[in-house]
Amino acid sequence: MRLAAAVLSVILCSVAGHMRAHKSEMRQAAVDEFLNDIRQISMQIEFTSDPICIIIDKISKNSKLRPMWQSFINCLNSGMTCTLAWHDVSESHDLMSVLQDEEKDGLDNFFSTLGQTDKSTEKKNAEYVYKLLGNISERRKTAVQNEKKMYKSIGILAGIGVAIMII
Amino acid sequence: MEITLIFKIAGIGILVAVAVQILKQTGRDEFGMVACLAGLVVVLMLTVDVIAELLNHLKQLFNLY
Repeated sequence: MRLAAAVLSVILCSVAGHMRAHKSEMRQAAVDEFLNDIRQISMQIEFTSDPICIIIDKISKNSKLRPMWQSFINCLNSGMTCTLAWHDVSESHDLMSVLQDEEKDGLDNFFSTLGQTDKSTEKKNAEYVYKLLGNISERRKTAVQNEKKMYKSIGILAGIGVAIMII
Repeated sequence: MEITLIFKIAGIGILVAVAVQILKQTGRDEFGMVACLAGLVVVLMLTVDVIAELLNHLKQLFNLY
């Protein structure tokens, strides 16, 4: 019985460690996806004269963030401004919970200017957010690998520690 | 005193040492300190009965209070 409890505790703590490591990885993946999509939005704004709905629809076709962009388009089609639509999407999508304040603020600033200012300002804001997310992504590339190893190792060690206590 | 207590204390000591090294390498020294303290608290919890027994024996041996 004790042995079973010890094995279960090792498994549970290891799984908890892996889940936390996966969350770090998801954050990095989300930042990279946003980076790619913001770049495409910026290029669409610069080289086309399509409205925001059409631009977002175009980029959502090849994006891993498609469900989120679709919700954004639905909010825009219901008459919301970009700011309100983005606010609505960021509150309701689980993906946004893995991002930190730095990234969220940058994205909030970007979407608050969409459809509100002229093309050159929108392009400048898009470039700013692109560089911000790019810096964050570069900074975190090595840190994410270390964090993943750390959380997995600490999870397994905690499980073994609990198992020792039980046995 | 059972021999398993010694093995438990040794096991916890090794785990804490490994955890502290991992946390130091990833730049989380403060969490390493927390892990040390947590290990110390766990070991004290394991040994509190044994220490109480020791004090009782001493009390009986020297006819103290």
